[in-house]
Amino acid sequence: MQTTVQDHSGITVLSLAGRLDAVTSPDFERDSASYSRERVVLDLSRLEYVSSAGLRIILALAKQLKTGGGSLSVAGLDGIVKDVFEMSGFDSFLPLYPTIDAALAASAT
Amino acid sequence: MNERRIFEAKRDRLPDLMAFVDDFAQRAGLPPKLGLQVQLAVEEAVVNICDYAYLTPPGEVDIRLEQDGDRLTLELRDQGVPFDPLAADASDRHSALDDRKLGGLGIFLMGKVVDEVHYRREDGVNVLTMRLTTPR
Repeated sequence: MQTTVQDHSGITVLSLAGRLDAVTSPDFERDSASYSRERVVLDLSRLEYVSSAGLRIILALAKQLKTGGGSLSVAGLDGIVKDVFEMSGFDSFLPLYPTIDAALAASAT
Repeated sequence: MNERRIFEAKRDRLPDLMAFVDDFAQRAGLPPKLGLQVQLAVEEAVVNICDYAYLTPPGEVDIRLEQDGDRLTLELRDQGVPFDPLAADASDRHSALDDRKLGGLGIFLMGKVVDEVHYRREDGVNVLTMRLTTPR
């Protein structure tokens, strides 16, 4: 699992590639621990697999951003990652966008 | 096709265990997405065993994967405390962000990605059986 961080005019884009599972989620937990006030877009278009261990870290990130005054949205869901988000009801509390551009446009307003 | 392997039931063993499942999925010629569903079902079940089955960890988890025509059977056995994951709370997947708890989701997902899940306690062993049908 690889996390890439990019700044888009004040919006932080975290791109995850590979697998976010019980093995790799501690890495992402560490990579995401410092965010609190930022507007964050999670780009999952290159994520191949996610399990509940990964969802747990995404949920923790959403909570810590909400507490800190930041925000979290998710872009680029596809395949089993999209299925897992929908099955687990994560689409009910996280704004989901088909593309990173759509997420950036929504976060900029 | 039949594969069986016994692993120590600890999270450190997960990379090897997932490689074993992935290898089975590839050799069984499963479509990529179905292979990932199989991995997800096994990961969630195994994590649950690693975290809860043994009072004095680590114990073992015995994984049997079988392909018979268009039927896949995933069977996991452990000798831990009797535990029926199907009786566990199905988590609160429709509550708001503030109310979300961080548990229960794995077993729920496991049940969603397979067609059938059965649990039985047999001679001091927890036996979890999952079935999927492969597209022809």
